Amino acid sequence: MREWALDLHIHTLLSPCADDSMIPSVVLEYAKELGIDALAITDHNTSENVASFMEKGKELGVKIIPGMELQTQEDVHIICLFDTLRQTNLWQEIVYKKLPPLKNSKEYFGEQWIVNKDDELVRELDKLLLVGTSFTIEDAVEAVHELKGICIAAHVDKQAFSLWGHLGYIPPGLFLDGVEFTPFLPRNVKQLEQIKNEGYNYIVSSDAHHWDGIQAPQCYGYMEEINIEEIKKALRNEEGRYIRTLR
Amino acid sequence: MELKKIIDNLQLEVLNKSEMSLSTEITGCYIGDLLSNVMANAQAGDIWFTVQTHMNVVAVAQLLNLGGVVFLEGHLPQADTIEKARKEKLVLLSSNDKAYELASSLFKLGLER
Repeated sequence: MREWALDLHIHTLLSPCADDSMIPSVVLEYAKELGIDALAITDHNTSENVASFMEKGKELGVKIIPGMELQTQEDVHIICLFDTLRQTNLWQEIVYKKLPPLKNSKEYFGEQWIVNKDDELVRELDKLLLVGTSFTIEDAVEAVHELKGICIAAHVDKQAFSLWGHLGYIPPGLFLDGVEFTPFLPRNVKQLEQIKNEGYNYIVSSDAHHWDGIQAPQCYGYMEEINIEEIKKALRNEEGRYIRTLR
Repeated sequence: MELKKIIDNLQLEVLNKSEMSLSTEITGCYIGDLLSNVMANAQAGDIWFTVQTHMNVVAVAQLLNLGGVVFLEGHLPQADTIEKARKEKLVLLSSNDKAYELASSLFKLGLER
C-alpha cells in the first residue's frame, strides 16, 4: 500500500461555469506536473466528458475516476463517483430524466462543450445543467449506492450549494460516504467536530473550474490501488487504509 | 398573536391537523430557506416561511422553538416529514402565496417583527 494524491472534484469545459481551458491535455498535463495520481471528473449533472478524459488519462498516466457533481432538489451538491464508464453512463441517464426540460442560456450561464481526447470541440450540450434535479438528497444517495458508486457531500464549508449551508447539518439516516472541504476556507472547528461525531471522514479537493485552480496535492489516500472500494475503505479507516489531508 | 388567528386570516392549510394545538403565541416572523442561516437568525416564537421541504426543517424549528412552519408557493413536504412534525407537535402549514404576500398580510394584522 502507499499514499496516492487524489483530487476528487474537477470540472471540465462542459460545466457552463468552467473555463475553456479545462480540456483534457491542459488539465491532465498540469495535474501530472503537480504530482496528482488520480482526478475525478465531476461536471454539473452530466458526465459526457468523462470518456475523453479517461482516454487521455491513460495516455498520460493519470488515473481518471468517472463522476458527476449532482445538484439535488434541495440545491445541495453531491460528488458521485464510480469505477467504470458504464456505471457512470447509467447514472447519467437517470439524472437526465430528473432534470427539468429547460435549455441552457449560454449568455447567462456559459457554454457547455463536449470535447474529444485530443481537445477538439465535438458539440455543445443544450440542456440546462446548472439547476437542481428532482432527486431528494436521500433518494440520490440510495440510487448511487445501488449502482455501486459513492457519494461525498461537496464543499460543506461553503454556504452556497452545500449540505451544511442548506440543511444546517447532516441529516440522520443519510448514508454518505464522506464529506468534502475546500482547500482555502478557514476550518470551522465546531463543524469538524460535529462531522467527526457523525462518523464521517473528509477529503479536500480543488473543485477547479480553471486550469490554475487545480491545486498541488491536498489530499492523499493510503490504499492498495485507486478504485471506489479502496476509497470507501480509506474513508472508513478500514484495513489500514486512511485519508490524509494537508489541513 | 394566536396562531389560529394567523391561519384564518392568511388562509393557510394545516398539514398535520390531528392533535395540534393552534393556540401557540406567535411573536414574530422569519423568512428563509438556508437552514444554517435560519438556525443563526430566527427567534423563538417566530412563524417561519420557507420553500425548503427537507425533513431537517422540523428539527430546526424544534431546536429554535418556532411557533409554526409555512411552506410557500405550493411546496409540500414529504409524508415522513409531516409525520415527524406530528410527533414533535410542530404545526406545519401550507399556502400557494409568496412570502411577500403573506408577510404583508401579517404586518397588516399587527405583527411587526
